[in-house]
Parts: sequence; C-alpha cells; structure tokens
Amino acid sequence: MMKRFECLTALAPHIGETVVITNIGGVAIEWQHLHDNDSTFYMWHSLGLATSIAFGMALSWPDRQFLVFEGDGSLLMNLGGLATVAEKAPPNLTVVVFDNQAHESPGGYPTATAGRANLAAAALALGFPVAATVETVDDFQDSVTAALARERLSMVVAKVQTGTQNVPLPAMDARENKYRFVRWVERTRGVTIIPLPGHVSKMRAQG
Amino acid sequence: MMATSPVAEALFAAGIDFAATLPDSWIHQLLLALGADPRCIHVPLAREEEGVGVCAGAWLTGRVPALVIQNSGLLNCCNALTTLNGLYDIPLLLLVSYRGTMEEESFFHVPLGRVTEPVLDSLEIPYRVVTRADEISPAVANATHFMRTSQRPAAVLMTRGSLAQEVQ
Repeated sequence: MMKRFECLTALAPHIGETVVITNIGGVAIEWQHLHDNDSTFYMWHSLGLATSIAFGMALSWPDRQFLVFEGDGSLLMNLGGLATVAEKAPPNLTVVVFDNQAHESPGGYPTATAGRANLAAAALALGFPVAATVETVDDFQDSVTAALARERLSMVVAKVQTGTQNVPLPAMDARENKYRFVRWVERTRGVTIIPLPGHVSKMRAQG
Repeated sequence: MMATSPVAEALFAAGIDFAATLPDSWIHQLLLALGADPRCIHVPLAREEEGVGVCAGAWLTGRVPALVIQNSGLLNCCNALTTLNGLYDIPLLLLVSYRGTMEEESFFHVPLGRVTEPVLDSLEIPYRVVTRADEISPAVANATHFMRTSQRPAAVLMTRGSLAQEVQ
C-alpha cells in the first residue's frame, strides 16, 4: 500500500496557486516540509472540521482553487458536513482524503474504513458530483490534478498505509499561521480582515 | 414576496455578510430572510459544530460570519469554539435563540436554560441577553465590533420576548 508522503511529494509541484488546508496530524507535518507557503492553513486541533473550513473559504472566495487534505477518522466525525458541502457544491473545492483506516496519531486504533465503510461511496450518496478511490501514486497525482482542473466539486480518497515521514517539525504556532494566512489574503484580494489598531475604532458599525 | 426580518436587517447593518444556520421555530422567519437575501452567503447546516468551521473559513478569507442557531446547538459547538476559535483567535458572531428560561413553554428545553450562560462563561465568550426586539440591533452591533477589536467570538442570546414578532 502506498505512503501518504509519496502522494504529497508527487502532488506538490503541480498545485500552482491552489490554497491548501491540512487536517490534524502527520499530514500537516509532511506538507509543511514539502510545500509550506503563505497560502497554507494548518488546522491543528479540531478533528472533523478541515473540510468545513475549506468549504467556507471556497464559498467566500469563488475565483480561487481550494484543496483540503482530510483523513478517514476526521471525515467519519462529520459526514453530515459533506452533505452541507455537496448542497452548495462549490466548483473550486477539492477534498483529498488520506484513508489510512486508522486514528493514527493516538496509536493506530482502526476506523470503520478498516471494515466496511466506503468514503467515496458515501460522498457520492451525499451529493458529491465526483468521488473516486485511488491506490497508486500515479493514479493519485492524475486524479487530484484532474480534480483541480475540472472546476467541479470533487473528492479523491487515497488508500494509504499508516506512518508519518521523519521530517522536521513546523516552526510556527497557530496564531502565527493565522496572521500569515490572513495578511496574504488581504494582500491578494485587496481586503481588510484584521484592521490595524489605529483603524479599528473608526470601523464601529452604526446601530 | 421575499421574507423579511428585522433581525436579518440588524445583521446586515452590522456588516455580517455570511450566515451558517440551523433552524429553531423562533428564528424560522430570520432564516428564510437570510436564505433569500443576496447581501449574505447563507449555508444551511447539518449540525452546528460544522458551522463553526465553515464560518472560520469564511472569516479567514474576508467575510464577517454569524452562526445563527438555538442554544442546544451552541452546546454542540463547545469543542470547535475552544480548539479552533480559541486556539487561533478567530472571531464569530453567535446569534442564538435562548430556550429554556422562565419564559419557556416547552418542558424539554428547560435544561438548556440552566446551563447556557455558565457554558459561555466557561468558554470565555462574552454575551448579551436581549429581552426586547429593540435591543437586538445594538447588541449585534456591539458584538460585531468586539469581534474586530478582540478577534474572538461574541454571543447574543435572544429570549422569546425579543423575538415575539418573529416567533411562528
């Protein structure tokens, strides 16, 4: 069975200006080593919400591509959230699920995908227009790059083995990541999200 | 005819332009108005906690979000409000119908009334309880301004009396 790190290594040169959101755990550590940049948001501790966060971004910024790295355990926590996403079906969102059939970080306890659960089938049933399962690195890279080019809500479920590559840990905390991400959005979109201290009192809403 | 709601107008006046919602009978009219109005992106949710994530994504990319729910749903959000909004300092307006107080007519909401304010205190989320319709707009404006000054969530708890015009 392929490794997640092999998939990420193959994909990294091909994502262009796509905004990436990562799930908790090894995927964040591996991705920050391979392709850290200002437009990456690392979701460190809210298991189940990575896709919901990426979905909120994709709706709010329709002319950008968004790519979220999910996990099987986290997606199973928030399957209803997939129905919410599918109902709006933002064409600029691709959900990649690294399905290692386990809650790896706390010790490798098996999830339901180690048994009968099929996440791509669940996504299709909940209304995703495109969802497929891949088991080789070549198929992974082809499927994800095709999804990013397709301009249609898509899911790719990658069956991977457990294990995290031994790479340096991130040198940035959550708030630093937020500021870096938000300032990048502000520069790129020409908007103000976190007003500077001298401006905030002038922004008081009339009410 | 398009649904109208004074509470929706208060949200728009305060700058809210993104609303994730789950229904309660008291806020039915408000949700219809939000869903029909191009001034905001409206996301109907399956469960309230996902809405905390959706709203965080919206804020990170330039929107001013509100989560419009009942207080039972607020209890569903405790982990997300702590590990997402609390870890990163991400603001969110929690606009909540406040079930289970002494005005409540349904017995099954009563336990919510006992715990809602202590839970918000424990989550370190400031809140205002509004009891009259004309208090909603200033409370929403204050909460939205607090979101900008603090980068943290703020809650407005709307009692039955404040929603008398909207209750079905």
